[in-house]
Amino acid sequence: MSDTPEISENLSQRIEAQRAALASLLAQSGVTASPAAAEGMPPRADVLLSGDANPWHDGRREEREEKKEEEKKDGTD
Amino acid sequence: MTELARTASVVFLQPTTLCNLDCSYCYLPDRAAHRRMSVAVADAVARGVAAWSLLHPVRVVWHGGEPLALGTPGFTELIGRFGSAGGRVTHAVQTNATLIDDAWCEVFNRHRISVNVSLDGPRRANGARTTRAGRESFELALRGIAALRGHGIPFGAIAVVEDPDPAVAAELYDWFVALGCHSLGVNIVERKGVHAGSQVDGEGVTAFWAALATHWRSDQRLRVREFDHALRHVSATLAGTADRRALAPHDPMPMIGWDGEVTVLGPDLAGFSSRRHGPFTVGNVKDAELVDLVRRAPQASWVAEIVRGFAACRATCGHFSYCLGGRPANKYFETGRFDATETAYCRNSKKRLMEGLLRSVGHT
Repeated sequence: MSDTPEISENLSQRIEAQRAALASLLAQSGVTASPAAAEGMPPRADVLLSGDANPWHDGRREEREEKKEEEKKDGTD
Repeated sequence: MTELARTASVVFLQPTTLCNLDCSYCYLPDRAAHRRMSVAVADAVARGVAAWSLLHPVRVVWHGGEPLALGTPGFTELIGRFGSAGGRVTHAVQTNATLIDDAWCEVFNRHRISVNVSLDGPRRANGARTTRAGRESFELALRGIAALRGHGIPFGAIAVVEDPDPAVAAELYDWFVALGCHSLGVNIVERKGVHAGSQVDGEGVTAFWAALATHWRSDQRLRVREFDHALRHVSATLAGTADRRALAPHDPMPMIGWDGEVTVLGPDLAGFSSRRHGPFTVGNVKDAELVDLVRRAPQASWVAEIVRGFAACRATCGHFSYCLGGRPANKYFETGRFDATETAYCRNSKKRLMEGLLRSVGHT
């Protein structure tokens, strides 16, 4: 859909191709897929946890099932 | 599939339409008018927030206009209507910082308000941020930030970048590190709302993100909101959960205007209307409970069109699990419709951002 060729369309393949370097950066930065769930907040609060009071560029929740699974692992469910 | 969650974990409030600044890129209408939220409206919102807080924590974001233009007595009267629900209701304020003084710092501390300031970097980057008299606001903002620092109040920052020049990316980052904020959001200037000015859209934006990412990777003293968000998607992709996450419903993120009108899916549609849909509202908290208005929001024609737009993005875009369907306001103001797909916002603030980050990592 994009007519801007400098943007590659297959994002997940690009990410997989750089798995090792990106995993290293993730470890360095401390970013995880769902920090909000870890703090008992709705996953949608992820953006707020990065110190942002204006998170409306990113309006979606993760699946509640994912949170429930994490809660079960914590024994809090 | 449900496209909108029935409860909200983030609620935006517009305590006043007024802003004491007149930034040239601002999208907000009526920001020269001082229309104030009533206690009755705040009470109605507080009831909804209290109901949702029984299910999960809720963040109340005091947005604008400039929320501090209300003055401390007016602001504390409104925020005082909200219970804390044992810490499950928290507050944040998005401010231009120019009105912050000791009295405001005491309010922030008393109500445990997270503070986020809007500032575009060094003085020369703030030319768009002028007072209503046309004077620069830079020193006023620095004075307010000095007050925050004097009171030991942590704060984040959001910068609008009008000229995403790779040569200034590192300087921008370093300037915010020196300012003392804990996090930085970077908004590439957008054409939306009442701002119909120029919009960047090209390879240079990718180069800017790549330069910023390279500098950030070497010095991670600040969290950068956009990189956090991109890396959360990277993390989910590497864990094999990204597609599953993308099936989850959108948080409705209601915005309650000064008069009680409720907009959903972002504050940047509040106060606008179209010939086809009428006002972009799902009702007024003075007429119905906020929880009911949000639950019934998908029945509004413009919200239904937004949901169709999400579906179109899902069906056609390889970045969907990352951007999750784009921003409705950008779709509307760029194309005239909510069921459009790619926008300049998508390219600049999602696709080119990720591309820049991946290029930066690839060049290690």
